[in-house]
Amino acid sequence: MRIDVSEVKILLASVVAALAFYQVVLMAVGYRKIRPPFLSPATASLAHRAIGDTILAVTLFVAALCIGYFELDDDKALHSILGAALLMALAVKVAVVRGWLHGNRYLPFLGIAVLVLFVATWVSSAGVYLL
Amino acid sequence: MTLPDSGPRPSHRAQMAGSLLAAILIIIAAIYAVSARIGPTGIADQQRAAEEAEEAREAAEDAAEEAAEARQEEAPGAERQSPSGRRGGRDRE
Repeated sequence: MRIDVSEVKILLASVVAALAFYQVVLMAVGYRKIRPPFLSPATASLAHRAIGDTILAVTLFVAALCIGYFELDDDKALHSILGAALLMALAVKVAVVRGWLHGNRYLPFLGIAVLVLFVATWVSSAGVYLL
Repeated sequence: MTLPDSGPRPSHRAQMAGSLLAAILIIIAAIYAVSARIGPTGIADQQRAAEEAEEAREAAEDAAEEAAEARQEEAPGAERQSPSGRRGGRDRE
């Protein structure tokens, strides 16, 4: 069976982009903006952390795939910039959550920025084939 | 948004399992949607098919141009040999 690297990248990028929306919903529960009877804020936050660690690992893998297989190309400058910004936003968010950086009150904005960057990075690459 | 209180929440373990199950369902849905969009031929095959279609179109255009040029080359020869064989009719009259 022949494996196309582009398809693997598109698939993984689409999965993490979809999960990014779910992460926002989980933290809306965590911050008590939404109060479903079947999910407590503490559990939602824990689930957000667990799924977030998985998303981070997959995103790093996709980034390595992108740089290693496709290389940095002038044709994909926008995608490269957005991808780099996404990785930086994720790094800052993780650093704040783990207490390496101050700024807990900015976490919701960081989270929204991560979501926007996930979607923008996806549109700039996978969106060309799928939309 | 607060939903009506329908009783005690499920246990922490059940809530966590439900959250992770929802994430797995989202993953499956995303894989299904992307696979349906890409189709059985795959992206590489689609690109190859597009390139082959472009080459076929260019070859057809080249063939049409060559045929037109060949017709233009034959046309002057056909004008010299007119069916009545008359030349310069006004002079004779």
